[in-house]
Amino acid sequence: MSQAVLQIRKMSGHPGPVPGANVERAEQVCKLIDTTTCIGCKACEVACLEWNGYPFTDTTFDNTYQTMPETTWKYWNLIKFNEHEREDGTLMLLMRKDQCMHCADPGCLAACPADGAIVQYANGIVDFQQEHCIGCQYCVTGCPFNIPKFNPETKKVFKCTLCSDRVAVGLEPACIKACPTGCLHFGTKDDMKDLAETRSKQLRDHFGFEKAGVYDPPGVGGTGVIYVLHDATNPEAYGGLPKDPHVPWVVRLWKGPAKWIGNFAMLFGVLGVTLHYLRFGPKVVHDKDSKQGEAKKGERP
Amino acid sequence: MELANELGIKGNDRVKVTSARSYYIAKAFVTKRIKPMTIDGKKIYQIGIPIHQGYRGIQEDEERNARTLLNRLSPTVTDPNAYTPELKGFLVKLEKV
Repeated sequence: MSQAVLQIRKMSGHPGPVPGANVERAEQVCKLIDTTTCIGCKACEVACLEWNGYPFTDTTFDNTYQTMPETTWKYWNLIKFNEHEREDGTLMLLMRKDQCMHCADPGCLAACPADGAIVQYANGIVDFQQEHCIGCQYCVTGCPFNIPKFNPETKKVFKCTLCSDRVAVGLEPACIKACPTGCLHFGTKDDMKDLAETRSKQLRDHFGFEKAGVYDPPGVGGTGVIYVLHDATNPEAYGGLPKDPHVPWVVRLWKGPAKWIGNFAMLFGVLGVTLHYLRFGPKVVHDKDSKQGEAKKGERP
Repeated sequence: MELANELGIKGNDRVKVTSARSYYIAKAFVTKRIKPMTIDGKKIYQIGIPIHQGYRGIQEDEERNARTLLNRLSPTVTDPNAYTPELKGFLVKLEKV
């Protein structure tokens, strides 16, 4: 039996060096979604539910083929459908697998106030640790892709984990395993970027999609999930993929300057009170006040 | 899309599809993908209903347990040579309910 999960050190009857020996792989992992070969079969949605142990929920019809209008706390992976009319009058049925983008500079992590509730692993996966989550939902505000979803029953926030449990033992995420057309790829960020560039060049040169390109937004420091789009100049057509996503400025202000201003204000407040005490001494009770106080005392039986 | 605008049907509305044989109640999915055709100078609209259901329909009337099947709409006509059923081309009336 071959143990593909483990790294091989020695190999019998193998000419030359052992493939993959003496290699330390601490690289960024990445999922590549080629929207041009997606057929919208939703196998990834089912695989996601099965692997993560969630039951299938009732579907919501909103005049598209989508399972529901947007992802929920127990439905992390959703293919978004859009009937897109192109400038030349032809129609395209665009499908995009929507899930956590695993940003290199995650807005959810920046916004989270709880110690260790959101972590970014060395391989780039952004994961929520629900046992540390305090249910404040600041991560929902911080995410430019509207991905973290709140479970009102347990007061915790959930989202796609890029199957960190599978990736940790050398397997690909469940959605990639299930994809029947091979439009989902998984590997290191560099490999996936190369593959994405090759594919978009192919689309530009041979398929007439002149604006085809790769979606890897620099506004959030690049993402751990990248797309190949028919028209990279108009990502909004793919079920509202933001053109230039950024962590909201409110979160940046609050976690950056405002935090420091608050800390300094508190420090100077305490310092001012201390200096006032040293200079003017403790607060003295005036006669008028004390009389009133005595009078009130006297009223009591 | 054009037909839906003409009849005032929006996505998620309940519609009744009636043929010479039976009727069927379904949810409307307004799409740009099926375009009207011009046949013999007349504008003909086309609608589609997904098939593959049990002996009771999963359409929207009677709590997804309806007795009027989609298959009752279609004519029992077969190709004389191969006996392939002619189920896709027939006339229906579409209305909002």
